[in-house]
Amino acid sequence: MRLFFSFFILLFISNCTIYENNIDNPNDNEANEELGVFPPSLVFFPKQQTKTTSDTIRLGAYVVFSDTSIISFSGAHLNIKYDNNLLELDSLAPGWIGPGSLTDSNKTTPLFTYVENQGVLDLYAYYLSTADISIDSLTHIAEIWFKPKSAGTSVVSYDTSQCELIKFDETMISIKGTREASIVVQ
Amino acid sequence: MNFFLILFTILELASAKTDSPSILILNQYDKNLIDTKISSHFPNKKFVDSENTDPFLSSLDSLSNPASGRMNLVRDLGSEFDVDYILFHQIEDDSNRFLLEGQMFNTRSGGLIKRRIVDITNYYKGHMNELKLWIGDVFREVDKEWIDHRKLVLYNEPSEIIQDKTPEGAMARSLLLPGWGQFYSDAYNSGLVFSGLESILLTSVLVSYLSYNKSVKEFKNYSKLYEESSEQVEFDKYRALSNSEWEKHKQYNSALIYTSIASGSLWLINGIHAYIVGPRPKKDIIQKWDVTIPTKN
Repeated sequence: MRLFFSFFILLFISNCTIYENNIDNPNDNEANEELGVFPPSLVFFPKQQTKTTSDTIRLGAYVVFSDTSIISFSGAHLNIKYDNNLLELDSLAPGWIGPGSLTDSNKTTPLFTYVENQGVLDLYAYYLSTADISIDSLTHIAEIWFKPKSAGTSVVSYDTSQCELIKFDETMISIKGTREASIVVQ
Repeated sequence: MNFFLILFTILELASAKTDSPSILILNQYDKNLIDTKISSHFPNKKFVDSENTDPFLSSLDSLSNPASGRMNLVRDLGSEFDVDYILFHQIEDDSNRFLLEGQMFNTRSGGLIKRRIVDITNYYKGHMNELKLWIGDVFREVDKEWIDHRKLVLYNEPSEIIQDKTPEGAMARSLLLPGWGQFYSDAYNSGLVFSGLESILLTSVLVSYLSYNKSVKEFKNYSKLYEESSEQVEFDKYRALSNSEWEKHKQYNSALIYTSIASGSLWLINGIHAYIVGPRPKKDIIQKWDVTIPTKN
């Protein structure tokens, strides 16, 4: 009898949990707005990753516009900071602009260049095609690969005072927010 | 003048004594069962005995009008024996019980004026005592001793009665399995209601529990896929699915809580109800018995 009631009480208690719906994705403008990061914003994806020293770390740099954006985005200068005692830049690849970014069938390739100096990476990407000036909410600027140098935690972030987004007519687009990425090397 | 007045009063009193009703007694039972005559218990009544009970043996209830069905027969017997009433008695023995039927007819009208059917556990000199109680009731001459004697059918020491079934036993059974205590107490309808309702509620609890678990699992799965998606099309889809499962898990959680509360409350009520309807000793422990009307022998 006691066991029977104990079973029901345990069942009752163990199932009273209401989970918090705190899902987060830095590429999702809706999630960013809930955190107070409004578009256009500069983000990294994924926001957090844990690797070993033998792994390669892959990080995407994105610009997130609002879902209803009609900004004629044309190029970006990203100033990215990271702890060069823990991470070493391995390689870079340009992202893809256009609707659906990676799923974009046009695979628009930008004019892409970079400068790396003591934990500061300056990226420049310009899209010359006039056909793709109207973009959707998410734009992939670059994919960055790091090699871990030692164990520790490094934050990869944007310096908004240096970052720039430009329109097709070369006027500036104001950056409203950024999100950083955390990399844990074990 | 005074002499005539006194004489008249004496004659009047004498004639009043002779007004005591005369009764024809017709008894249909084994004479060995009753060792004394009824008339000895009612000395101020004029009883006339007769052996011919045959005309009264057919069932009274089979007549279209039981009250007046034997009118002619009763009147004729009344004239023949010069009596005011006819009392017909029939006793049937059935293992440790017996059944007594008494009928009283008025010979002037020929109608049935009183009837009693007694179905009772046999007790010491019970046949005679029941006859006395019946006739005493007819003439309003019931002796207290006869009533006390009837109490022989009751248990002398109720405290010594061993109760096989108790309200506590009923409650314990119902708390263990809803409805069991009611079935145990022969309350079959409430037993069915409680066991049925509790089954429905427990099934609801189980369904809510399984649905809740499924939603939580799906919510976690879609949340993970959402957080791992870098593409808008994908994370839009997984966000919608994750939110949908999150809402569902909240609803199933509420359903689980409410059905559990309802189920638990009903379980408790069922236990209390089983205690209330549980078997208890009665004041007069006389077994229920389906009364059977004596038929023609």
